Amino acid sequence: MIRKNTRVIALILTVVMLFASVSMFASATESDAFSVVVSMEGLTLGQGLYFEPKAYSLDEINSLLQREGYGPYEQSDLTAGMATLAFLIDHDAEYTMTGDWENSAYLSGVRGIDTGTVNIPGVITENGGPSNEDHDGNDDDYLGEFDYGSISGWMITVNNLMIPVGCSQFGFEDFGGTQNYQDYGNTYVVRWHFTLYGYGADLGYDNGWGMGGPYFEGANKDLLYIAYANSNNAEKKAAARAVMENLTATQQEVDAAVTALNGAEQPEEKPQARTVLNETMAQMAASIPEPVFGVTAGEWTVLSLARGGYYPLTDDYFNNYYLRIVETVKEKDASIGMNGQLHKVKSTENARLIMALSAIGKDATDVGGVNLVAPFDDFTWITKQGINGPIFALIALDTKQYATGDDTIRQQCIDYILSRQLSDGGWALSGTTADPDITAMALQALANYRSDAAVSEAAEKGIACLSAMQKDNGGYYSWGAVNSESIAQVITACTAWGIDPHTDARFIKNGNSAVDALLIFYIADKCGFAHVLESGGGYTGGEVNAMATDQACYALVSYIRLQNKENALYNMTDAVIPETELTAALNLPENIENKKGTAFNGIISLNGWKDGYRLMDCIVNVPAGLQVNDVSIGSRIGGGSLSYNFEEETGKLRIVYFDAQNGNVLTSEGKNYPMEFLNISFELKNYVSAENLAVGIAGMTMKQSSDSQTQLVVNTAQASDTVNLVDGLSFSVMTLYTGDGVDLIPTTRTAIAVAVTGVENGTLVEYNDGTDAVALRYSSSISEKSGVSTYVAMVDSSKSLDGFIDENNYTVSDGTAEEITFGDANGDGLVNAQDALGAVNLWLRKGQAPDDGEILCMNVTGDSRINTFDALGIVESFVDGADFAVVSRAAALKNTVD
Amino acid sequence: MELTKEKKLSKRQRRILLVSAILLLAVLALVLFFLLRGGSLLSSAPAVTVETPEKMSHTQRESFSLALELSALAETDYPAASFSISFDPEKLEFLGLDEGNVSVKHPGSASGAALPEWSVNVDKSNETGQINIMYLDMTGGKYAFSKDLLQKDDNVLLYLNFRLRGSVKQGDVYELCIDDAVFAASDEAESLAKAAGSLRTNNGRIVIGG
Repeated sequence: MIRKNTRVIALILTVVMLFASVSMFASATESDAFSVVVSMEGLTLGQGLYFEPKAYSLDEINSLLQREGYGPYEQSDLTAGMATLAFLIDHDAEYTMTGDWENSAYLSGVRGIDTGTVNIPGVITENGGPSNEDHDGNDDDYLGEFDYGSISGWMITVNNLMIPVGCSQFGFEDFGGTQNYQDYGNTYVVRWHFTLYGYGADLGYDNGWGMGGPYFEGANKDLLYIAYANSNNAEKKAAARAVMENLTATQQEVDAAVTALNGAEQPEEKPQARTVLNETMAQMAASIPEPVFGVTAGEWTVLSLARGGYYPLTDDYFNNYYLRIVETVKEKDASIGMNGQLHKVKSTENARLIMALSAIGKDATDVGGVNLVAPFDDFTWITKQGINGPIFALIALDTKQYATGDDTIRQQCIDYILSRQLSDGGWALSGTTADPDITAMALQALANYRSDAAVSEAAEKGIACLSAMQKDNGGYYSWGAVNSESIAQVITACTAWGIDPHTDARFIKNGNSAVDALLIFYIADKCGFAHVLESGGGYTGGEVNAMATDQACYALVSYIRLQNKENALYNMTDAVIPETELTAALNLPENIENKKGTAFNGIISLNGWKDGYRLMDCIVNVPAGLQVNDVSIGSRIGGGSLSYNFEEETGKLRIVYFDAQNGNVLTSEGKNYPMEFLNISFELKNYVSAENLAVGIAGMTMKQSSDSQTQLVVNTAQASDTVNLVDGLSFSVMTLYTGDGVDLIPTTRTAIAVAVTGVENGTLVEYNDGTDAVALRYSSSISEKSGVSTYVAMVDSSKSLDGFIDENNYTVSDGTAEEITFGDANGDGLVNAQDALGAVNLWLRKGQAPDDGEILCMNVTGDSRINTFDALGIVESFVDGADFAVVSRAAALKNTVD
Repeated sequence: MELTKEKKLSKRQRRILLVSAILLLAVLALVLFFLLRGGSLLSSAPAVTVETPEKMSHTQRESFSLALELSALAETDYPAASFSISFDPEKLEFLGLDEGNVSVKHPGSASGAALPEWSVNVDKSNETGQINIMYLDMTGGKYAFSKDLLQKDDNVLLYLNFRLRGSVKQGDVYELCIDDAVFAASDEAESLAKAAGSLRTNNGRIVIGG
């Protein structure tokens, strides 16, 4: 129904429509995707949002308008009226109007939105407007002019400006620079308000129409509306909506709501990125068990898994890859015959392989006798691929600071890159418009040369260019599509320059960071990344793509490394394979009770393993007063049988381990070191007058045959230890590990082991130093290993451990202590697949963060994290019967407190 | 008189006894059913079974395989599974595993499925007399066991390969006892586990004949 009597409002709006429009150029950047956020609200009636803010692209608006025969429109032709019409079409809204949408639309009523419940804010009544008890009411289904009051009706703001013309005459780009017209880049906010009294003064706007100015200081809520329209977080949107629907919300409240909706979400994305990275690496490792030389299923995969720490550098995954690469490199070098070139024109083949080899700690200057760095002395060869060549060359050469024969090569590469910087600050393979991928890669290559003023200046422009190219969803457009690879390169570039691509304002658009944008491409059920989300250019939208997954994975690695304050992705000077000299250590308990018959164990461990040996012999010096009850081989060692003899007169314990029947080589399971090799069970023959006893290894060798030239002499220089002899009860405390905050164990928690002499195994021992009561759990596995009753607990990392050696802080009673079973994540008394899966799921963040007890049970490797190594540790222990590393470590530790 | 009375009582008693007997049998059958079901003998829970072969000769020296069979799975994914099977290592030599026909999901393959890679340590098994077998999908679900991948008929998880040792004697019986078995779901409440009573196990038995 259309009311005929338009009286005051109609008159005013007619006058308004006659105002000349002011032509101004919008300051929006051309690279922003055009977007209009439209809403409709009745805050003056206390009825909140009738239609919540919704964002429309130009295509979406044209698509909606096409239903009623309008358009299509170019961005420059689009008016607030047409955006409104699209919005009404989208909501199937029935409305009344005068004029027409293309020239002079006046929206007079909208059907079915009036809830009938009126709760007029007091500020309107106080300024002379209607009250809940005294208003004109609404006598039809439409909410519009003259309802509830004589000067009520619909008013429109665009970018917080109460527009001075009719909505059909208001082109979005025409009013930039107008006072109060806010600039949100290429995003525009159209809000339809129901004014009840004061021609907008009741909305907090000053329209200059002689109604005494706004009745309250109206906040600009546009950014909140934009954030709301682009958020998928229902919980946060509900909180934001409460602010949006508060007519008199202050600007401070609105800003806080924007932060809550946008900014507060950002830190929560970090663990999500980590989870996605973990899942992606797991999928990569599973689907590419044998990477080879190549762009896909090759170097980038190896680089990601190495720099992401998925496998240790000593793992066979990398060792076997290297063996395959050696063969490939030798074949290619022989066939090409160009001094280490893997391709006659593609220097990036060498560069890519150098990056992967550096990542796994290998020397690229000697790969099966081939020097992959040497060809980079030829700058002509480097530039045969255009700018890609110098970019890759710089990154590869700098991974390990490889020296070139021609020491000007690096500068030539830098000069080449700088000379090709475009006027917009970016770089491209060709043409004069910056491409995000090449711009980002150029920045990656230049990152090590930031002290050079020319580089620094160029980088500043390049970073600004990348920021300007970023789309509203945080992503990047290149080669015809918004794609994940471009975003990945930008993230990698940011991290190379120490810029957090998730929090730095330059890389957040419309509340979306570059990291947010990349994660949109993650296909969760496939644990991989799509190249594009919408089909086109020969790609299927939302389909996992190997190259996209590779690039996204190392981009997330670079991002997580930045979070962890580790070397940047391509600074691989930290990728060093640990020293491999085989070294033995001997560990005794800190204290034992000094009385006849006291038994304890000495553990001989190795820092690694060498395959191919058939026999081990070892001589241990045992002091007077000790007898040897038994010697056993470590649970991870196999292939032989053990013999020993203790000669009391000389104190020599001679041990030999070999396969007497078949002469098989000795074997070792697992990769965690140090590894228990031998366990010697000692016993005090009598009370000993000395304060301590020392045991040491006199020598240890591994032999392949009778040929002495092939024997391996194990380093036993430090393989000795002392045990203190104490009377009765004593306590020693060892730090097992402290969380590093990366994977599930917070930096604030430390695991300790307390060894107690003078008690029966399993005795209830309680600790209370007056400040803290610490729950001690008895560990039979550690106790059996060391021969001394041992308990474990989690304490605050800041807590001094001095109190744990003070007998006065303990109560020893007849009860039975609670016992811990390492690996038993679910506490059912069994260690099986459920526990291994539990560790995997925890690491994948598919459950609650573990409590202290769960950390103790699940961190079976005894390192600072709960991750897939713990899952594998559970599998190995279950299948191979191997002791958990945390048990061996705990048994071998010495007192932390002097 | 006495005989007549006895005859009349017998007629009534016959009917009463007949009805009572039927009722008693029905009650007993019900009690037995629920007792056995409670004790898992008639439980509807999925079962893992070690195949019991036909009687063997003590002179047999060829290796033989025993299937570890699965009856069913529930409507969820199981990213991990493990079995602990004890045997007498003095009489039997465990030689290793062969693949069965129960697949796990494998998104990267054409069929979407692949046979799982079981972890087992043959030497350690013979040393301890317990075969510990585990499968773990490190992605937590992408390569999981699923009801959808079970066969219509026999579902063989794997084959256990053995050889009789020289010390076996006629008349010996060797039990292959499933000490623990679990199909682990991410939500433990949905797991199938012997310890929880949600997975039944049936031991295998090797009988040595002449």
